[in-house]
Amino acid sequence: MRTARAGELLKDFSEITGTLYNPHIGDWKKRGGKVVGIVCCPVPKELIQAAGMLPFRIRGTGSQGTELSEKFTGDLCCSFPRNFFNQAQKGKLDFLDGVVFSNNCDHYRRLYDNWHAAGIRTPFLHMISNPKRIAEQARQWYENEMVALLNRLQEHFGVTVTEAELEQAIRQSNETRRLQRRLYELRKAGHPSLTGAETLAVMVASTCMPPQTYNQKLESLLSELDPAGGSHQGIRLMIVSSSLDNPVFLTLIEDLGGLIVADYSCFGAKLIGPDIEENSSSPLQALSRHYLTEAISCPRLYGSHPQRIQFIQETIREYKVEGVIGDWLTFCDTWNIFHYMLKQELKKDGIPFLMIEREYIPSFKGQLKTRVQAFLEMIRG
Amino acid sequence: MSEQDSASEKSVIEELFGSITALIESQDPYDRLMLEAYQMSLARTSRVKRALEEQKPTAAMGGNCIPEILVAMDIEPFQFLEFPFQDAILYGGMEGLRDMVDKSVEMFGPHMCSFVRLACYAVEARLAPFPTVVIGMSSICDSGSAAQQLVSNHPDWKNRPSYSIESPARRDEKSYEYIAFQLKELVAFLEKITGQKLDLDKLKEVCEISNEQLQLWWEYNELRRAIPCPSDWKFASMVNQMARYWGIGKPESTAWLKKAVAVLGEKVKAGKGLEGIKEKIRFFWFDFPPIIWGDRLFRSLAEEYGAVMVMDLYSDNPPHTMIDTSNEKAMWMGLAKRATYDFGMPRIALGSADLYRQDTIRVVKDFSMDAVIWPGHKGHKDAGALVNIVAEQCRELGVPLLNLGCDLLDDRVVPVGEMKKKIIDFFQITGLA
Repeated sequence: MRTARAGELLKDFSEITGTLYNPHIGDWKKRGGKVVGIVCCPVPKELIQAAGMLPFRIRGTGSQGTELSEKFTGDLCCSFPRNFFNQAQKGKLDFLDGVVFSNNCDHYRRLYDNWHAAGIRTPFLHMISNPKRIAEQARQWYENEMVALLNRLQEHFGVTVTEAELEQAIRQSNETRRLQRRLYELRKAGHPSLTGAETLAVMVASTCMPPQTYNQKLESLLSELDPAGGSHQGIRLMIVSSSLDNPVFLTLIEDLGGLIVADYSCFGAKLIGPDIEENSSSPLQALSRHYLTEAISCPRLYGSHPQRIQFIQETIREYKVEGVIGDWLTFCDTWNIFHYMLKQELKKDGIPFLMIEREYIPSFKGQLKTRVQAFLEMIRG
Repeated sequence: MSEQDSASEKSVIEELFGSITALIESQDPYDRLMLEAYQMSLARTSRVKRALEEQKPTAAMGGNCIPEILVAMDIEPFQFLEFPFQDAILYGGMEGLRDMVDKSVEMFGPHMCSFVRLACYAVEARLAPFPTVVIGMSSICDSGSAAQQLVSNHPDWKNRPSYSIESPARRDEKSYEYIAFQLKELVAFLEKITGQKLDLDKLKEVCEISNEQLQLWWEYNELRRAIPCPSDWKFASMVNQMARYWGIGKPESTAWLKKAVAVLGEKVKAGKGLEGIKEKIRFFWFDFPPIIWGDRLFRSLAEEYGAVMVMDLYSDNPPHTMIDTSNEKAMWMGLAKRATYDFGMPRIALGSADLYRQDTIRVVKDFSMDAVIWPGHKGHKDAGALVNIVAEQCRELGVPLLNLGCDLLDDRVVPVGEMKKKIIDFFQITGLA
């Protein structure tokens, strides 16, 4: 049985995730704090934290359409950036004091250009060019990019970032990782104490609230959840996805009899990965090494495919996964080819795989529902 | 080959390139040069095929960014998709190509760039010949990068040597230094794999020939400013091939380019435009030309409406880097810049919105364009997200822009007739026709 306190905490995480401007951001801003939006995983949030600001991973939560974006992005742009760009144009991201873009994909890259063109008045805009290959020279490039970002943050916001503050941000970030690892451990139980949708809400919350508050809240939740397991059951599924930030999507799968026990996704396991080296002689070197070579890799990174497949295969074994759902946002070429390659690997391993194509705003009806049902029935045999 | 096969092959070639028979029979110097270019192109194809058969050093490229280095090292470059594409058309006609496209859709769905999708299919279907090395550019576009991952992890390919060049999303000295470092690393890699050493004097010589070829290309393009425009897009494609792809560093290509400039110069002096065309509308095709269906569209627009495609993105020659061969460092920096900034897809895909604006202004003004047609190729997603910025720029210039929407490979996605209708409607609405 779940405790009332656990239920309250999970509800709280869910509410934080269900909106862009959550109460924690409101409090932070009231105290004069700055909030800097980050687009995609390879923008190191630790740099923003070290500068005394709150990193906010940009999402399109609450978006009802992309009518304002389409003028700029055309109709071939992935719906994730199209939706958050729409929200930004509607003023829903006006609380951001800055946005750091990355060249992680063609769509994000061009949004940086269009952010200017659409006249969105975010006071600080920056583009970090993170490498697409694994090599020492690439790591050095990345480190220089981090220096450039740090310099611009210091210059624009009039702050000074010391090595000690960078170290502190890394320690805090590692603490979040350790807690999230414990959360994921709970999902290995035969009957986990929380669903995939609930886990996703907890994970997304880590990208939009002060880390210290988040860590305290997650620590409390973990103390309320029984490590031996809970009552949730269903076909044990792993979700492989990029910008999956809406727990509703997982609820829909779980309502059909699946149970998401593991993931490889940008708002999930990819946020965790291994710890960043602490007390390194160069925190920036440690950060660049972490994001380029140690973190759970992104399909965009050339040469990282075997590592990624190994992570997924190990996760399948550890979490006793019975089937994998590949969640793909239309027009994302990187993940389209990755899902194709993953399918071949899983076929060799005898793991059922279903690829779902969708748009960012969930409209999970009819055909898709039938496909998931059929997939679950196929696994049940 | 049977008579029927031969007839089918001829019709496909004529569909793609127009009447070869007419070229053969023509005494017009412009036509003779075009014929010569086709012959040189065929000779080069045979040379690469022979190198593949004899297992001489070859490099399959996912982008065409470093031909100078390969030429200097005596490594035959070819495009990854080149031979599966050619074979499908030559042996199966247009239906053969369409069949390949359909199969690639079965694998990857319809939303990915059809060219990249086809390359992935060629690997999966074991249609692509094995080169000595694979060289890609991991940052030109998402689909190209992902395709490289597919190739380098495919069971048939994963043990084959491959190298991926990465270009940052910014253009400054630091970026060029980063790319130059990779080019040198690539050379070390190629030396190890092929056993062929790079002779810096040879590289210098190739760069100097290449500089001259680019200058000739630039002179040729200057002549295309003339009204009426003296050259068509197919001829322009050949100039591009000579100066930027298989003709690089080859004296015979330089000789051809010199003749092209001379012949075009004579046409301009005589006030001659395209044969049989009364030019009324000049337009800029803001992407690379659609080789499969381009002739059908552009020929009929020219013949019926006097609408001439004066410039496209791939035959555009922006102010480019002349490689400084006076010292080694300058040479590598020049190669880095040329590889990623100067031309074609690397320039435009990696360029900022400002670069798009500048190119729009330059081409529209220099070539007296009446209109800009933005093809809106389904695969070019990054460019697709800049159409509004370019449209705003065109508005400032007082030139209308049409966002067409098409697939540059597969004319079943948007039929040529439908495209033509959209373009004609656009010309009529804007008062151009």
